[in-house]
Amino acid sequence: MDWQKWQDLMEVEKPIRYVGREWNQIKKEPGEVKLSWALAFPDIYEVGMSHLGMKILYNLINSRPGYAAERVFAPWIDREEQLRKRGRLLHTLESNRPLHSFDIVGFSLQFELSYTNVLTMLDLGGIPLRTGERKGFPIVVAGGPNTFNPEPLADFIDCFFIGESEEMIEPFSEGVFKAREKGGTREQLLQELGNLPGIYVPSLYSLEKKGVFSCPVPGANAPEVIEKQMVRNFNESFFPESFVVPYTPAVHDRVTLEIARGCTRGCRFCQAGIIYRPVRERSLEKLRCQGEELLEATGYNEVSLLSLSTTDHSQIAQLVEHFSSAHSDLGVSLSLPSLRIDAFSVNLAGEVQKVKKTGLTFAPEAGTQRLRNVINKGVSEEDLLGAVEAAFRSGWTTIKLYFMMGLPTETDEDVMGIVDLARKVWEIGKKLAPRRPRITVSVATFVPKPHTPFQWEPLLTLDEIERRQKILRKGLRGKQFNLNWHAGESSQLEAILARADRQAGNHIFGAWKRGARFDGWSEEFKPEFWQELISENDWVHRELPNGEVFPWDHIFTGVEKSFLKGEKEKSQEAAVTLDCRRGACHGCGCCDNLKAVVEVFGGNNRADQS
Amino acid sequence: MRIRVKHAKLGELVFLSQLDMVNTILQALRRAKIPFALSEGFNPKPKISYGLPLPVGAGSLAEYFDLVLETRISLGEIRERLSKQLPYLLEIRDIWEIPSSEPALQASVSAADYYIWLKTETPYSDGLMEEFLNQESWDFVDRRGRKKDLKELVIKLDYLGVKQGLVGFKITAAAGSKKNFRPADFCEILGKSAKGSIEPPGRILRCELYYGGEKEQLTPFSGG
Ligand code: SF4
Ligand code: SF4
Repeated sequence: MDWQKWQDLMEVEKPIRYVGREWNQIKKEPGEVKLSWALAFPDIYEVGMSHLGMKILYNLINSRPGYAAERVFAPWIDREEQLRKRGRLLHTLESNRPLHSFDIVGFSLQFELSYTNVLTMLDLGGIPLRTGERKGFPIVVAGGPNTFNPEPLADFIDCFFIGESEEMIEPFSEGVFKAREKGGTREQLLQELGNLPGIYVPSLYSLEKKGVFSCPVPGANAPEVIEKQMVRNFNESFFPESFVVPYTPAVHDRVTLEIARGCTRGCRFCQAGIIYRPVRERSLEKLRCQGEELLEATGYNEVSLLSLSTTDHSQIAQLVEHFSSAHSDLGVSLSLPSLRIDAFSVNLAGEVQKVKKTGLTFAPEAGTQRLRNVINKGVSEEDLLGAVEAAFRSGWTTIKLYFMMGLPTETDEDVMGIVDLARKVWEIGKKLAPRRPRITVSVATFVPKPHTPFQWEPLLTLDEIERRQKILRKGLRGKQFNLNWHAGESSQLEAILARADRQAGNHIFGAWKRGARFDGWSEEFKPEFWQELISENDWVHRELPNGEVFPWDHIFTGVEKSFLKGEKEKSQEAAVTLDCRRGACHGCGCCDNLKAVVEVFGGNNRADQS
Repeated sequence: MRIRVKHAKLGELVFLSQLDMVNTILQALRRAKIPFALSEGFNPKPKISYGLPLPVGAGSLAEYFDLVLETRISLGEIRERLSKQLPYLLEIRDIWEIPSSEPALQASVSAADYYIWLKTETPYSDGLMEEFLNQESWDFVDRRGRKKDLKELVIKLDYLGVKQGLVGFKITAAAGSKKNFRPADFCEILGKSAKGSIEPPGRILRCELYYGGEKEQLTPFSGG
């Protein structure tokens, strides 16, 4: 390491973020690389290195001879300043090459409030920000859940991957590689890429104002609809044999096994529940092998069983039993990230945390039964109190409860319902917990998301957010409760960016120019950078008409818009729709449209029962 | 079985914090399937302890840790298996079995050897350096605001002269919990006295740790 590099790193906070050289890092010889990807995560190293999607794509691309994938993360503010001051470019961790020297730069879009970091990374990587100015530069692509409304970033991203990127990596890479061999213009290449399954190339679409939004209209050779791509036969699909092991603690340092993809519990606010349909599981057998292999390859001492709803896996009991006993002699522990609310799940969790009982988290989402039916959260008060009772009885003392505020049809009574429920939980804890219980109540503001039954719904105004937060604050005084929530302005920005059209691009650019960085970090978020966007998009606080054309209507999840509307109507009557993984199909359209099947093990397959 | 391991910390890995390094070693031990012992109690922890923490940014040829193993394994095998699972920038340099009665590293460290290099922009005047080296004391105010003389802590100092724009020193100085020479303090004081012609921070390489001292002989942990 030369003196200058050492000195640069000495000056910044947590220099190890920028060093790379981790165990299991994959570094290919330049001579053997025909096509290079820079996988870019628009948040800091510790966050990005905990993200499973990054790990999958990194190993998948690198598993192909001739292809290389390298990693780059958003530089923290001090590092960005330093790079600018010294006139240096943002580079990947593997080969230390600047982003502009790669064939493809791929961003992972997990969160609307990371959009300004995308601009920072492009700019520092030496790549022109706007898609029209990139002749001779890499193809800039983006994947992840946010691409289901790609429009806000359409000015800056050449191609969006709609759906599960694993499926598109190969045809896309090949497309780029062949085009380069052949010669031809960037426009021709984008035209070709835009006709691959699942690839959306915004420059092939013009805009037309329809109602509130400017919506994309396909040009001559552009597909009308871009259908999401998804992994089929999930059990046999690619999963990394090793993970890069960060030197510095990431948000999660553990072997993450993806036990299932998709969740069809059908909560009406939930985007993941729609875009990852239908449910596909991995088998106990497969997961055992993957777990074994990854523990050995990483040296981690924790296994996490990841899915949108972990305890819904049809073989969850066997999985928990296997992973909590097989390696306990080596000090390997198990974690279950998303628990269903019932005594069964609590007992499973008890199995897992035999000795150390830290906090247990439940997400009832709403305070009253009526409102839980409105959002289709199939949890009764009985379930919750039963789960809580089981938790306190088996030794937990800290319970975290997640709620949303501002859900459609919410009244003050529903807000008070949160208070009442938290108090009931505390009462049970006082009787049953071994020590004085602590109840953490986290209340997020409901943000309507594209492709959900609630995509037409309004966001609360800032005044209303504040008024309802006051009700909570008043109701949950006292040391036994720890109440936290997000700043209203940050939910407002998230809500606008989630459903915005292409016009938002200029505002994102403007806010970034004014200095917006890491907007998802509460201490960095500065609403004053975003005033123009906020004042021009007051529709976010209105309910949109049934016939509204959305800027994401050409992005197809497989689920019919009519199904979403039907769910919205059912919500107004507080009528419930059951999970289709074991029960009846509700005809959302997904399986038919995508020719997909629910893949469930353990004899609970829907097909078996019909 | 209790073992003592000596390893390096070089290249970019000088930016590992002490905690990062412990985690990295434990992960490597797990990958190498070397069964280390865990403490009893609610939150079982491996019984690993380091000698003297190294400041972030400093390199070392002499990081020592002690570790208790569950079972007996030959030293050769431990070394071979662990080496395969450890980044080469943390290369194992030596390994010993130690009796359980052996005092903890942290309690017995008394001195350390450092190489220190600093950048010097202008050609350095030997006169100025001589003046600095011959000062009665090197007074400074430590992190807790106490006045101290750094020179008292120096056991031996070799001035290595100026090469390729760098001014170098090899210093043996007191180290440990009672009296501890911080190379960064030395760079600071030197920088001030050189009136801008030498710039901290300095690059540091620790090359040995010692026990003993005062009345007995200073002995490197790796043996005499
Ligand atoms: S349980 Fe509800 S909120 Fe959770 S992933 Fe499934 S649908 Fe979404
Ligand atoms: S088509 Fe039927 S089974 Fe398939 S996801 Fe939709 S509701 Fe479930």
